[in-house]
Amino acid sequence: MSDILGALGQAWSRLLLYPGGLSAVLMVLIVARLRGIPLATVGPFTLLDLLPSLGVITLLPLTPAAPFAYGLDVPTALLMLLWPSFRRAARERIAPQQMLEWYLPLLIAATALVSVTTTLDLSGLLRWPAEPLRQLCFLLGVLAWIAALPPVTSLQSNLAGACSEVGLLLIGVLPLIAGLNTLPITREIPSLILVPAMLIVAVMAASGACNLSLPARYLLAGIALLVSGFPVR
Amino acid sequence: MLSERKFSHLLYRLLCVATMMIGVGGYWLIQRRPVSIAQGIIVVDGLSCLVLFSAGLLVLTIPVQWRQVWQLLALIGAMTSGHIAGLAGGLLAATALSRRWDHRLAGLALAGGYLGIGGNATSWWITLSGDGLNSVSFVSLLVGAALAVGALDGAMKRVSSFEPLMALTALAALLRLYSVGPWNLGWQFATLLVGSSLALHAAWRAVTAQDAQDTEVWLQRGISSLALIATGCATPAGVVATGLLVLHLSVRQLGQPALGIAPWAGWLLTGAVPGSLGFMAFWSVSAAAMAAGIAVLAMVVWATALCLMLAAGRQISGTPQRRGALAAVISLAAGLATPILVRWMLRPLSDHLQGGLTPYGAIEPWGWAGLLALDAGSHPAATAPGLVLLIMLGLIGALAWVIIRWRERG
Repeated sequence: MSDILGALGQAWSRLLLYPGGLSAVLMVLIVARLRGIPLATVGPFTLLDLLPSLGVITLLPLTPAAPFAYGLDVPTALLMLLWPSFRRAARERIAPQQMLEWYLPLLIAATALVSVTTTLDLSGLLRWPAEPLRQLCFLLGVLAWIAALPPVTSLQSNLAGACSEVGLLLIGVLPLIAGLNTLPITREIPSLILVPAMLIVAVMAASGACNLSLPARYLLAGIALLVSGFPVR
Repeated sequence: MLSERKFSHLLYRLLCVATMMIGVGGYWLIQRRPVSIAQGIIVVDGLSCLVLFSAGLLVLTIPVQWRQVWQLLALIGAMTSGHIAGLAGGLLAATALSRRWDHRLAGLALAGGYLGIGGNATSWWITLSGDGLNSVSFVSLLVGAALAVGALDGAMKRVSSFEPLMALTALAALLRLYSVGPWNLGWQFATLLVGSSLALHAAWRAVTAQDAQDTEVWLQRGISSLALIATGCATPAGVVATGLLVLHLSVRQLGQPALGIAPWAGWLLTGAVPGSLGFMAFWSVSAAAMAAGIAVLAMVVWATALCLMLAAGRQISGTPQRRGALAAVISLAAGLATPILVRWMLRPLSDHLQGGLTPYGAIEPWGWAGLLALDAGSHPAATAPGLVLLIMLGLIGALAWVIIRWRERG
């Protein structure tokens, strides 16, 4: 138990400053403003919807955050980020067929990404592969992930939805950060600038993907999954 | 003076509780190695103790039916038998007492499979009959397991009752096959395929069902089918995942959410709350698949789990019952205690079945934090820091609450 308390004690900057706390609130407010989401008062129920997404952002393996021994994996992060839309879907009994259309491309993209990393651990997304085919698959996986987000995030147009969107976009950005860190030019850019810059790129890409048709999303995710299945010597 | 009816009910409950207690007590004896009694005719190992505990709990949760007690005793006989004839006889008796003909058929297939192994082998003792393993017997066992989980209901598109005790019988019968010997890749693939098809179908039926009782039936079928997938992984991680799913099924059966449940308790029993037993159980199947190197299966399992969680979330309604709240508290407590459960209750299970398992994946306690899935090279394949996550969420929530209050006063 002392190791957990020790880890939590050392993670105060993660909790208060970056990537959780202040920086998370800032990112959520910016995304909410871009999406035109009104900044309503946070009550107990909104807080209940906000908490899981904030928890995921706090525990993301982003540099230069303080190291934390107990990281998350993709399924857990997905579940926690989808919690607000999940609760709404259950409460309003949204048609499962509709839910499937929204979530399936995202799950296929996630499958493509974890197939490349061979681990469900989120930190695996920070390991940029050496083989060109794997790199292509990683990029396709990221594109498919970001393209799959608009229908999922449009389900919840409040602060909790914006918080989920930030978390999902940051997960999509992790492989891109890993890829950029291998380039000599971008390696010099401090992570505190690189992460928000990549987040803005991802927000713009997600906005651009709003007009994509459902078959296009499936096609992109399907190609990423197929490429991830090719064996690499 | 107790009336005859009340005495009968009391005796029934006492028998169930005694079975559970014997199961728990058995764990103290079998931590290091299985206990063999009467020259190996009776063998008590991790699987026997898990079946004793879960079966006792499952029978305890249903209205008094003495038929179920005889089924329970037959199942215990099967799972503590060191001889194939005892195992087959026990399985046949447990299923023959069911009211459904497809369960009786499942029992015939399960018993037939084991008798086929015994007939082919040089010995009828379970641990010495590895040379009798053959594909015909395996297919018979798999068909029996699929029937007991409710494959026919799925194929015929009908909603009928679900007997969790039959599902437990089938899963235990399949797990016992690891005591006989290792499975070949084809058998594993077939089990994963059958389990995935059944799980996806059950999850979809659960999420599209309109009636709360129908949803619960498909939900429990989905959980049992996921356990079939975990069994097919043929790894210590898969065995641990099966154990956690059986425990989750028992706790859900105890809660009976379809009769009415409070939202907080209902969500705790869905498995959507990290740290609860349901979450740990669903996560462990996905982690077992990933540790075995099958990423696509891991995500298919997670998609199925998400459907099951959503179905369970849609089912939350009605007048809250006390048993639902009790089950929710047990689910949270057991979920946070999974490192202890895995170390004390489920590791003996995988250790004693080790002879038939492959080393491609293990689920280990992650200190007090939660669970960690390791692949064949002992690298982390998945992580579930249940307790840490809840503490972290509590801290963030407390912080946000303080800020909100401060803003309101300002």
